[in-house]
Order: sequence, then C-alpha cells, then structure tokens
Amino acid sequence: MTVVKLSLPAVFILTAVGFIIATFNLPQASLGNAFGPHYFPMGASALLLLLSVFYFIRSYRERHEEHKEDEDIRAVAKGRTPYIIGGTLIFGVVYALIFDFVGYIIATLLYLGVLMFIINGKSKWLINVLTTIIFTFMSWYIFAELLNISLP
Amino acid sequence: MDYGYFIDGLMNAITPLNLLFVFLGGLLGTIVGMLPGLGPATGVAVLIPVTFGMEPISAMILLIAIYYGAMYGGSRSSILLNTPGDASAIAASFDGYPMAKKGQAGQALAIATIASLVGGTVAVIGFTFLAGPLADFAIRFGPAEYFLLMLFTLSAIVSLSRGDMLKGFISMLFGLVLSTIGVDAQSSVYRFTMGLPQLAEGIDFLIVIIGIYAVGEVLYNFIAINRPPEKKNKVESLWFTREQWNASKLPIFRSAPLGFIVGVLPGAGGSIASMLGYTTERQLSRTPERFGQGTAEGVAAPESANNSASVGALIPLLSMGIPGSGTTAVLLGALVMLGIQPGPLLFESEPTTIWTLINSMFIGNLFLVVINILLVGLLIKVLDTPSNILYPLILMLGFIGAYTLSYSTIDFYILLAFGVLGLAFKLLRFPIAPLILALIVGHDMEQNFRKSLIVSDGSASVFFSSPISVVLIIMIILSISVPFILSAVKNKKAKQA
Repeated sequence: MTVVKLSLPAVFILTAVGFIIATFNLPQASLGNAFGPHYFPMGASALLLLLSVFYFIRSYRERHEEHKEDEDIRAVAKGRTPYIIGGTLIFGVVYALIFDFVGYIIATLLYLGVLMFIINGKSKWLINVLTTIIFTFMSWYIFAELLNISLP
Repeated sequence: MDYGYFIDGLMNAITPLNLLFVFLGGLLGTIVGMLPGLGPATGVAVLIPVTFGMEPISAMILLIAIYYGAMYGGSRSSILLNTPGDASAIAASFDGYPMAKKGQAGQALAIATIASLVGGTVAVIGFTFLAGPLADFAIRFGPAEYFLLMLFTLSAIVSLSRGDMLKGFISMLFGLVLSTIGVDAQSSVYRFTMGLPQLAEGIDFLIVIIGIYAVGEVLYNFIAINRPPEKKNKVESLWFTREQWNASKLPIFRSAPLGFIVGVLPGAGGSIASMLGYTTERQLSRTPERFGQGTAEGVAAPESANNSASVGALIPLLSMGIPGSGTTAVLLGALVMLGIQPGPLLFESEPTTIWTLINSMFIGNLFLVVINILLVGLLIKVLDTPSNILYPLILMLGFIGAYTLSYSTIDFYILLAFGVLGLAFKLLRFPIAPLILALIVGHDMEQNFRKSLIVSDGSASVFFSSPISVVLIIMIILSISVPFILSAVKNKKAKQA
C-alpha cells in the first residue's frame, strides 16, 4: 500500500529533477534574452519538486492512517483485476509492436480477442469472439472506408 | 446584435447535414452521459477522430452537442440506477432515485428533461448576449492580462477541485512542466525533446486527453467490472403531474441563471452548479424535509442548473479562448485541431460560425427533449450493455483515435503511459482537470509571460499596470486564500461546538 501511494509522488519528484537538470543543460537562446527559454520550466519544475517532496513526506508520515482511497487501491490487487489491468497494458505494448507489421485488422482481432478472454473468461467464448470480429470489421469499415483514414 | 449574422447562422444550422450532426451529437452525448464512468470529456475525446474530414463548423456542432447532451444523459442513470453518469448528475440522484423507488421513475425522467431544456435554453440566451461583449472586452487584453487570466483560471480550478489543494497544485505544475516540451516559440531552442522529432511540437495534448480520459478511465473501471449490476427501476408513466410541475417550475427558473453564472466562472462547473441548485432550493423550500424523500423539485433544480452551467462554461472558452474546466479544455483541444481557434478574434472574423453554433444549441436542446422523452425506452436499454463488453471497445476506440492523429505507433506507448498515469491519479484522488488545463494553456501562458516582460524591459511592474491586471491579481489571491480561510472558520466552529 505504502509503495503504491508513494510511487506517484516519486514519479513527480523524478520528473521535476529531470527537468531541472535538463534546463541547466539547455543551450542559450541566440535571440533576445539568452535565458528566456529557461525561466518558465525552471520555475515550474522547482515548484513541482518542492510540493511533491512535501506531499511525499506527508504520505509517508500518514502511511498507517486509513484514507478514503485505500479501498480502491486494495481493489486493484483483488481477484482478477490485476490480471485485467496488467493484461491490457502488456498486450497494449504488443499491439503497438505488431500494428505496423500485421496491419490493423489482424492486430486488433488479436488484441481485442485477448482482452475479451482475459475479462470474460472462456465460458463466454461466443460473445467474446463475436464482439471482437464485429467491432474490428465495423470500425475498420467506418474509419477506412467512410472516413478515409488510412489504417495499415 | 446583428440580425444578418443571426439569419446566416440559422440557415447554416438547419441544413439537413448539420441537423443530423446536432441530433447525433445529442444522442451520443446522452449515451456517454448515461453510462456510469463515462463523462462528456471521455465522449468527446474518443469521438474526435470521427470528426476528421468534416467541415469544421459541423464538427464543432457535433462535439458541442455531445458535450451538452451528456448533461441530459447523466441524470438518466442517477434516477434509474442511483449511479450518476458523471459528477454533475450526483445531485439528481438525491431525489431522483427515491422517486424511482416510489414508482415515479418516468415522472422523474420527464421533469429532469424539461428542467434541462429550460436550463439549457436560458443559458443559450445568456450566451447570445454575453459572449460577444466579453469577446469585445477580451480583445483589449494584452499579454500581461492574458497571463494573469490564465493564472487565475488555473488557481481557481485548483482551489475548487474538491479535496486536497496540495494535490491540485501538484497536478497543475506537472501539466505546466510537460507543456514546456518542444521548440520554444520565441527563441527556437529545442527543449526536452530528447532528440525525438515527434516531440518537437510538444506532447500532443489530444493523445494525453485520450490516454487519461479513455484509457485511464477504462482501467479504473476495470476495478468494478465484476461487481453485480445494480437493479434497474421500471419506467411507467412518462408524464409528471400538475402538482409536480407547480412545485418545480420556480426552482427550475431560479436554478437556470444560478447555474449559468457558476458555469461562466472558471473552475466551477456542472457539479458545483447542480449541488448549489439543490441546496438553494432546499433552503428556500417551505417543506425542506421532503428533500431526499423523492420530491420533483429536488430533481428539477440541479438538472436545470447543471445544463445551464455547461453552456455558460462555453463562454470563456469561445470568447476568450480559455477553458474553465477539464471538459471544456478537451473541447478546446478538439476545436484547435479542427482549425477553429477560440478567442476574441473568432467573434470578429467568423461571426457566422458563432451564430451557427448558437442556433444549433437552441435546436439541439429541443432535439434532446425528443431523445430523452420519446426514446427513453430505447435509451435505457443502453444501460443494459454489459460493461465487460463496452470498456474494451472504448479502449480500442482510444487506440484508433490516437493512431489517426499522427499515424504513428509511438503514440500508442504515450497513450498507455498516460492511461497508467490517469489510473494512478484516480486511485490516489489527484484531480485530473488542473493537469489537462495546465498542459493546454501552459504554452500560451509562458509566451504571454515572456512577451509582457519584453514589453516592460524585464520589469515585473507590467503585471500591475492596468486596472484589469490588478483585479485579476486580487482574484488570484482570493481564489487561493479563500479555501484556507473557510477551513479555518470551519475548524473554529467545530471547536466551539
């Protein structure tokens, strides 16, 4: 729980530090004020760093207290939810990797099919298969044919 | 008011194609509004690619109809299922659901629809008279005033985002930091692009919007996907009684202007307007104890207020180019992509566009009554769509949408990353609107800040030099300090009690 709660402020802190370092390394502008491009990102990331550190410390201090959001966070790890969310993301990356090579239709059939089975299980295989096929071809028709958007 | 433009706009709005788009937008909006977990922001975000290839004005009509249509739809699920379709429909469930349990679901739906119509129409009339003058006023704004106005909008949205202001500020600053990625417009210095040419123009905020509102929202909804569905109430008589109307008509007409004003103010939106409408009517009522037990005016007041607020929120968006909420920020992103740049100049250069929109909103509100009353039987079948089929499809639409923006699969990774971020924001109760808003206005905010300093030769006095700036600075200070003062007063009272 504590790790989950601290990960988001940690991301903010890392982002802020990253931007501060990158701002120091920015080239000086050849037009106008040499440091013109530096001020705004520096100010915003410095403030972000300050407030995120503050929030991080506060979350750490309150780690044993019960908060409203705790129930939701526990629910993420309960039952099949972690598999559904994890599956969506992992196969989302796979989808991005194969999209250009196998084309929209095959990639979407695979990704949506896998998703439907992860979410609904094998027992509803007919609905899963039908939804996947109907959606893939209908969306392809609407976007590629009616709206003239070229899909690979 | 120029009647020539009004007639032109009306003629434009009633072309068969534009009528079709208003109707479709209203219908789609009603549906996304009805479905729990899907709000207008998600609806607009997912449907942006559908508008590719359309005339910009038609696309604008469609997207804005989705936006206000969602306000009608939100109350459907509040009344029937006690699960509000989005935050602005929460207040409608206080009395709507008890009415439905008493067997008056149809009457609650009908009175909510009529209240929405009045609220929406009053607000469109308000829009007609206020948007133009505001645009004329805004045209006098220099870079310093714009910078302060943006700062005020951001601080207002942070202080009004319910809960923790610290989280709101972090969310906003994170958005501002991300908005600095890309080529700097004044010096052409490449900033934080990590050598990727895709980042030269900055992070595409439409991808961020689709990532957070479509992917993030779906991921969050996966948590509840296996919960048993709520029991739905039956809809019988679809018309309300004379007593119900008599009790509701004053609340409806009082809440409409109230909601409108709340909507125009940055930061506040439909959810605050509907709560305010509800509590105001409960205080004014001679029988406040009936509120919460299923009384018609308890449904009518918040619905009138939130529809009015949603149209009111379009005023700062269109006449000043500054969105006051997450959803209007999404609309801004969509409009810019369509080649429509909201702001004072839009009113000068394209008055017909504005008048077409105004007329289409009048027509759209009438269509929505038809959709929500006559088609209610059909619509509530949508609520039967199992979420375990719906959510994967929305996810896929998000992917298609992202792809159509740049035809690059790199955007899929950005989409997934922001989906995870959206999920984390939702789980840890970080408000999303400040992030989206900051990301969208961040670039202009920085440019205006630097332009004002160039004009003044680096002196900060430029931010205090005009009466408008001084008023804005006072408003910024107030918006940040008022929540602290209020909570201090509350604590003091609690101690005394």
